[in-house]
Amino acid sequence: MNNKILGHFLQATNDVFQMMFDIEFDFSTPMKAKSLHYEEGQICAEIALLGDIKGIITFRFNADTALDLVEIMSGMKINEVDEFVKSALGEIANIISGNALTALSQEAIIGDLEPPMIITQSKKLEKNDNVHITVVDATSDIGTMNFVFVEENQ
Amino acid sequence: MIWKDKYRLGVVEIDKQHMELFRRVNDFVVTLRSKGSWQEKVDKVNDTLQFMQDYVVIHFKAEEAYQLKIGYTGYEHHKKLPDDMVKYVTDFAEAYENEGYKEELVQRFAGKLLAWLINHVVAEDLKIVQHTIQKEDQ
Repeated sequence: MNNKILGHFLQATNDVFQMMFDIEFDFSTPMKAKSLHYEEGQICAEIALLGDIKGIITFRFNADTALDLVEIMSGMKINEVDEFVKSALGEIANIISGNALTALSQEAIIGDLEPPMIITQSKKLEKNDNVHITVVDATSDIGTMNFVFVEENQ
Repeated sequence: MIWKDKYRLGVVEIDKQHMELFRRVNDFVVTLRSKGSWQEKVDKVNDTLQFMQDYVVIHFKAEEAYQLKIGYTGYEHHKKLPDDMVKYVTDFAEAYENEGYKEELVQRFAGKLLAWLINHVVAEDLKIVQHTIQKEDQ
């Protein structure tokens, strides 16, 4: 994923988290990865990107961070990752990605989104000639999350 | 789900509608997440669903009228958001009935509704306020 596209997703993430949660992230330098491993216990909101950008963006939360976010939104104590929590996180991923695509469309990069898929099971993907994997870590007061971009060759 | 004063746009009608949406969605989430049996919660779910189907349309019409009145430049983009939400609520109501009033489906609906409503008020609608302030400064 080129830096311009990546930059819009990170900017949209910061904007949404700042507005909705009063949370600001520090992002790491994007790192190329040879494989991708979702561990059980993490909550991964995957969104497939279509159009000029082809690939998948994943917002990967650890369970504590995910529960904290939904507690902030709901004002209630949330003890487990259930359908309610997964759906709320999926919608946040959807909002961020939608905002990033709106910003990209102003630069004539036109894309669309599939509805988010929430993965909580272990999953592994190896880099191959058709896909490139980029990972960015994001740290904030409520913990760490990271972004995984799996870009298909155009 | 806590209403905060910083969410006010300064447009009385729309602020009142946002507060009502927060109140109703909060009651719905509190009921849904409480320990009672599913049967005890079904009335509240049905009530909220009916409210959302009616009220989101009323609310979005009020917002659209205000945006047109102030010449909001993001009107076309903003108009798409409620259309998507109205469709989602309608589709959900249909699925809820067709699939036999399942709790899991409602939990999913509530999670999305919660995140959507907060974003709608704090992010999308505050852009309208910024537009108004910029116009007043010119």
